[in-house]
Amino acid sequence: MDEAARPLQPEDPTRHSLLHRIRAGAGPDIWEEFAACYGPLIQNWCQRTGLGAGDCDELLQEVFRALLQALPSFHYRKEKGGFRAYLWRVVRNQALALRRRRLRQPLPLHPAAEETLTREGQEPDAVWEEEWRKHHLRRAWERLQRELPPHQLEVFRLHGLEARPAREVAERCGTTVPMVYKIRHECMRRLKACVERQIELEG
Amino acid sequence: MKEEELLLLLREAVGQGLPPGFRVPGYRLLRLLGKGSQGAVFAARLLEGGDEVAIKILLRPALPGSRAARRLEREWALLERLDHPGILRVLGHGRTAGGHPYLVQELLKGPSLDRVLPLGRPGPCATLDGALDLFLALCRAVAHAHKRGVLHRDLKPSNILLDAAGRPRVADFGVAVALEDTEGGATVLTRTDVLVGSLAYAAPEQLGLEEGDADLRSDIHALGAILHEILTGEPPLEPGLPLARALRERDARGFLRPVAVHRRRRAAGELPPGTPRRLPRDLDAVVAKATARRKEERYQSVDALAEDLERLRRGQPVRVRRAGAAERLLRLTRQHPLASLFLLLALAGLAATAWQAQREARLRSGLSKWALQAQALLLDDALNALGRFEGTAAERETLILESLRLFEDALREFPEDPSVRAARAKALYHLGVLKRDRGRPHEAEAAYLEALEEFEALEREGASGEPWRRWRSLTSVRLGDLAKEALGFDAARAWYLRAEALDRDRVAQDPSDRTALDDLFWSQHRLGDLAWRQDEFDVARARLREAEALATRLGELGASEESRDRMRLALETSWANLLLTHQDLEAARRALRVAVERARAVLAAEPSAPEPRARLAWALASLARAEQEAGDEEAARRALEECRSHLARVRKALPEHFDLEILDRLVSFQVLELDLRLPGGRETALAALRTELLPGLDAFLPAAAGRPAALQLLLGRVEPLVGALAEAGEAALAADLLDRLLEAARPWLSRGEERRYRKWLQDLRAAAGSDGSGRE
Repeated sequence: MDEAARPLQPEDPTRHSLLHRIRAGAGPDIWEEFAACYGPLIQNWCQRTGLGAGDCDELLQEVFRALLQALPSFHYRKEKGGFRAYLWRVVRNQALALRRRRLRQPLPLHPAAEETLTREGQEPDAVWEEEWRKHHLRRAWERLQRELPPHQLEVFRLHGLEARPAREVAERCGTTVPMVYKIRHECMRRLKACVERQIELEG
Repeated sequence: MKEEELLLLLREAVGQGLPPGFRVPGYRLLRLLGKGSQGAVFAARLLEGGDEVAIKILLRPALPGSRAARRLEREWALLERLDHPGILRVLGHGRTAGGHPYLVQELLKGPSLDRVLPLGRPGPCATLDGALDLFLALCRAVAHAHKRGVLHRDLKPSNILLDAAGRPRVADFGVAVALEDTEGGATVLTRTDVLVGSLAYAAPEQLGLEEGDADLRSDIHALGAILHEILTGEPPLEPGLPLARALRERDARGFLRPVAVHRRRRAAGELPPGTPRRLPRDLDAVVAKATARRKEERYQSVDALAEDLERLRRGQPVRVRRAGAAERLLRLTRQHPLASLFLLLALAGLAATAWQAQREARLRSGLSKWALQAQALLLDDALNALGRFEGTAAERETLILESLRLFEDALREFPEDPSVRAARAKALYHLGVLKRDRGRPHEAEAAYLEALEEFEALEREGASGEPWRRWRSLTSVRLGDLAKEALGFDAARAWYLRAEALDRDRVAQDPSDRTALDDLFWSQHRLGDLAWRQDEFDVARARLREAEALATRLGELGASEESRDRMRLALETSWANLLLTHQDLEAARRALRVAVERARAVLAAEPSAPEPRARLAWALASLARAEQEAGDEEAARRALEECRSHLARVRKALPEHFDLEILDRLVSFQVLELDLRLPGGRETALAALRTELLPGLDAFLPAAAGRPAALQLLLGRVEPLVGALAEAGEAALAADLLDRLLEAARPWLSRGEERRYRKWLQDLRAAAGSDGSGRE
């Protein structure tokens, strides 16, 4: 268990530095990296607000276009919710803009999404918050997959992700039931720690 | 946030790493249940609530209005009308926002069939009856769908779910149709031709190995494969391997013969406790029929398959059972006049006995049993005379197989008759020897194991008439030989030790039993030889010394000079091998010269028999190698020439003998290498290499696939020839030769060895390339 006990290194301070590099005007590759990192988050949010595939794609494009212009002047301010709130504002504004452009053919938004979009104030909605957390979890999970020994990874994948019974997993992986629980617990602890650090750095 | 909540979120987060546009209108996807290369399954619930359902979403979108989409639409509409307790209900279908076809099904929380496999595992498969019940219920469900025009196309244990009562429910009907269309027909392998998981049950026509499209008989193939897995716990093909390799391993496991696999695993002590000891023999025939390569040869309907299994359960002979004895005999006479002449001689005796018996039967019942015994004994005699039978290997094999079938027919009438069982077991033993000599080790193993099981049973039952323990020992030794040839040294040692224990037992009972001492000599010798291969030289020496003592003892007991010479020859060759390993070339040469003289003497006593000549050829080949290593090329050449002349004669007598084929190649390698170095020999050698050796190898290597030890030997011994070719400026030819052998032996090489050969091959290719450009 020495391996799992080792704390997971936090993501490099930003994607901090991802933002930093964007501000410093790095090449087109950086945008690809950015899109790969944040695209699924934005897309998931779009889908959950009820947008169809075409609208999702259009919104995503608009968001990236806006970010391309605005990001270089973004300043990380923790008290204002960091990048999480910033990105939310961009997405929300673009969604509203899209909605304005589609006055004749209203966007098929969920009533709840409609409400958050039009509500005064700039606090992210619950769906965004959940997606944001999932976004960090995905990144932490990618990291864990790179850092964990394959055997432990397999145990956690089967027991944690696929929710297979510990007994079965122990049998399949040639280990014991207590060890399966221990690996799961350690993995979750590392994931959680990693997510917390990421959020601390990025918002 | 609590761990459980975080975990749920993580599952969702990771599950949603899928392409966008996976929204299913009207449903909320709750969690990912599983994700494969073709689709993902989610647990979902209607937005307005209700029971959880399963939604399968295909990862590849179908263009609206395309042929594929229309076909899918049609088939999935049929699905919604399927109503059978054995089929998971389909609640709806459609396309997601992103154009991915999806299917909404009942969600069943029971385990899938792959979790309750195999036979003997507590649960529905605990007993053979239970397992067959389950399988028959599965057949009924598939038959129902077939009658309504729906094929499954992707039947496999993980697609078959079990409800709380252990009844099977088939999931994913018709899902594969979408994949076939988008993949463009039957091309269902990945780009590198690696077999993916769900294809391990696919029929040859689905893998593109046979002509024709998938039809209901493809599902029958899958059912046969599933029955195989239920019975043995092993899937028919191993996913993740290149197809050719997967097929090879499938054959290695005795695919189509679950009864044989069962027997092998029992012999190896691998069966879980609770597994029935024996499986009805006809199960092999049923699985073989269902999984026949060509679909015309399979069962033509699921009902026919089910019916045969029902018959089997009632103890009736299955319909696929081979034709009757008389019909087969007729066929045999037509196909193999020579073999059948021999067989008919045996049967003439039988006919007389049977006729007499029939007459007597009018007076007294039960006499026909004697007739059967007589038949068995006569054929048994015939088989014992096999060594003197001068037919081709194929004819010998037919003779044995036909005898076996006659024995089996007899056993159906009188299942426990010990003399018929004994004759059948011995026939199986002979069949094993023949199969092994013809380069079919897996079939040989199955035959030996079945024979061994019968010998053990007969001994347990105290049946009289034969030294069962001796038969057990002989069969164990043969099984050890097979394991050794397949590089399973530990298994080989275990078999030899079993034989040794049996022989020691026999010697302890009667210290002057010459047959027992003789058998003990050979098990000792094999153990010594095996220890040498495993680099345990002290053990090897000790074993060989003990064998020597046994040979001496046999001499004192008056064993024939001939059998003692055979022992001495074996010992001398083994000692020479040990000496060669220790680079004591001088001593090895001396030992081999003695061995060659001995082999000549053995042959002189029996000049027309092929076996002693083959032994002499092997001894000469070893000597030639030792002479060359010691630098005496002239002596090496002389030995090789003599070896070749004996080899030519013996191959005429024993065509298709695998070991001789190998020896022939080894000798060719060395002759060509020597010729290449000879002034003026270069051109002849190159011509022989191009026109004889390479084409010969192409024909031979595929047949050698099941014999890793032989392949390793060939690869090791071709090195000097490859080196000589490279030196002679024929790097391209050298690469060609090495490449062929490397490709054949690769699956059994260690990573280091493979790297070394690859590197060499690369260097040769590079050298060939620079030669070519230099010339132009």
